[in-house]
Amino acid sequence: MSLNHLIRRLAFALLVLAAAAARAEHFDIDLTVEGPQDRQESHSDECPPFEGSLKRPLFHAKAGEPLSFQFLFTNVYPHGALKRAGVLYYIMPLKTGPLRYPPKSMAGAVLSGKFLLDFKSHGKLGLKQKFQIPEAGHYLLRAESYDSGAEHEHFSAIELMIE
Amino acid sequence: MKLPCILALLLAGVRGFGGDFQPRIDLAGITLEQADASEVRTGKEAIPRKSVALSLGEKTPVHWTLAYTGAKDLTNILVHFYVVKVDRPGRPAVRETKPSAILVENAMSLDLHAKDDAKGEIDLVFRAPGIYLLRLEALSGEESMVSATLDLEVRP
Repeated sequence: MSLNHLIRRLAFALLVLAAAAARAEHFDIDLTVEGPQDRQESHSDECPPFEGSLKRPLFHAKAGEPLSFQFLFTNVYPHGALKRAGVLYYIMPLKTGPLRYPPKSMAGAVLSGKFLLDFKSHGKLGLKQKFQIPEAGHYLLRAESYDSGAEHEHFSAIELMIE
Repeated sequence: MKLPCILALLLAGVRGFGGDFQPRIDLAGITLEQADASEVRTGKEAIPRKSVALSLGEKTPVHWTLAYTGAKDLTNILVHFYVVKVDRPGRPAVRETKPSAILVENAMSLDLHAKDDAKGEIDLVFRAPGIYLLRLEALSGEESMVSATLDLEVRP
């Protein structure tokens, strides 16, 4: 093997390692929604793009029914803590048009919230909340990280079909 | 299958030491900045509890901050926020609450250094009138280190 060939192989290996580090996972996410007739769960996806790569589960319920959702974020970043990382969640009608990351406004949300904290290594953030959706329609329940210091963020999402 | 208690998911393995905290809660124009270091299990709060009137069905955001003002590093601190329906104003805050009475529960596990803080914003929407207890607390293991508590009176 020539020296030039060896250098090219080493350079390629370094590029692969750098890319792997840049794409390192930050959060495991478990998102669950539950109602009288249905229960759906989804797990961690990546954005951009906003839609990620996983198919979103579809949850069915009736307007006004008592529902609850829960999410659990776990810091799985291999290099330790994530300083001043944010978590955002919302339930938003999909009829308002294509959603984007991060949302411009939470004004149309059925519910929303956010958190800002230092995620220690393997640190967790969880939320469980009861809710009702008074009007029938097609909604998006989404929980996502923001400002985690990476080129990508993680999210989990479930579509809600309210009849 | 019922969703498990958020606190139970995070309490496993939590061990830490006491410290100094400054909680702050903003809700419907009311700000609560007093810290109460009383022990949860005694049910006796040293600070008289404030009451906030809210309207049924309205989306009401609550903002909370828990700042650590001590100098010593703390590990495995659990920050716990919850809103639960209770039978009367002034009811002591107890951990053993019926899951059906909990409107919202949030918990996070933290290591804290001097001047660290954690913040949360949560939209509250009440679908049943009555009295609710809102509480922000920091726990080390099973011990409460500090708490801030409000009564919410939700009117039809």
